[in-house]
Amino acid sequence: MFILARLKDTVPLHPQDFALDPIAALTREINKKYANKVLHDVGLCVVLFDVVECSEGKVRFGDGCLWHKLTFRMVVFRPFVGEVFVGEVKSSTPTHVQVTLGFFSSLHIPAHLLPTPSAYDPAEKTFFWAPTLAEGQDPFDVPKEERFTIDVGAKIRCCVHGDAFWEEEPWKGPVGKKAASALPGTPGAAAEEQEQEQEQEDERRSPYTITCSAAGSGLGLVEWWVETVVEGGEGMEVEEEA
Amino acid sequence: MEVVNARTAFLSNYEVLSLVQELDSDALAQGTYGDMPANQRAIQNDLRTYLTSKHVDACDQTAGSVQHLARGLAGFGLRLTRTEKLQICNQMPTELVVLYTIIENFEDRLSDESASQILALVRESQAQAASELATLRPAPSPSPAKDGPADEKQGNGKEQEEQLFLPEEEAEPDPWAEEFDAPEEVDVEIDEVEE
Repeated sequence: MFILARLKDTVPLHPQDFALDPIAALTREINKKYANKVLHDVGLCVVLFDVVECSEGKVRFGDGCLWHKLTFRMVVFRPFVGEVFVGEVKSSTPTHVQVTLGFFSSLHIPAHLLPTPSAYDPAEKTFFWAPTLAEGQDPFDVPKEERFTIDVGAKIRCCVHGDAFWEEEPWKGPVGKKAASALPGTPGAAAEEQEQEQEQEDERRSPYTITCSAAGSGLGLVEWWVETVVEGGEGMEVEEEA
Repeated sequence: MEVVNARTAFLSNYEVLSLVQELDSDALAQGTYGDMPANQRAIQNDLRTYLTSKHVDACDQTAGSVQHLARGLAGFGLRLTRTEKLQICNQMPTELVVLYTIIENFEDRLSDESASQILALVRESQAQAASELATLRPAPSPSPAKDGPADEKQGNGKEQEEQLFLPEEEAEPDPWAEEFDAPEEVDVEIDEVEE
């Protein structure tokens, strides 16, 4: 889940920090700038691991700061494709399940990567997995006791399917938005579209999203697989593989 | 800002947890916990909560136990990839189902014997960690309480976080942390500083 990334940067030290140990002061400056932020194509920075190289400080014209050229290593959260981890279900929508790790919650399991056959129950607002489903049967015919629901707050084991970085573009502003919504037909449709756009935009805002998969034996809610072991889980595993 | 190498090495969960714990305890010992940037403190707290939560359990490992497991897994040589070994160290699978998710094409690549060998290794490592922790745990627990009166506020905050480990608690912004860091919060947009 975690990697080390080697970065280079020029970091200023404010005159008030001159009395401090320079490495301690620089460490603080680096953490202030990078910790808990997403670096494009690198991942979510956690904390500074160590400073590899540090030049002598130089004073530039205009401010009293000492500018140091630094090479350092950051601890970065960037799970690789195929990595398995345990998270917690945060929410479910008809299109995907959102998973959170506490410090990072832009993890999505789209409906097609949930264990098959599964379906979304709009009444309960949860997905459920129906392993006992027969061929050609409607998932909703499966009695409630035989459904394995993906409840909010449950621990889920999933595997990384892919990740994407999103660089925020400058906001279009009210003018651009109005122009876009004025184009297609009726006002009702326009309002709906605006809502959709808003939703999409909310989703889009996360600069780093990870797509996960919960389809496969052993993946899915942790409790499913603990129970099956007690019952003699072989049957279920075979079913999944086939 | 320049990325020299986006991935120089992999870190295991245990290494990250011990780094975070070390940073926290160093800052507490030096009395600089309040000076720690708010963003750093936020992610460190959340990370510690995640890594010590159930089913992740990086706190139930010790340097010795991870080393033991890694050496044992090295005996499998090329039959396991590096990332698979890393994941075994992270997940500590004690059941075949979990091991099955970590290793691709499990049936074709590994015999039942080697699978049970891996599971036995994990159990050995867990037992070693448990015995090491049993001797270690009583020692560090009283240390946060020993903080001087000047650090009392900080010490209490830390203690609460360590005892509760409730995701709900952690998710809510810590009022104490905000009050401490509100004036010096600097919003540095990493992309903007690229020059």
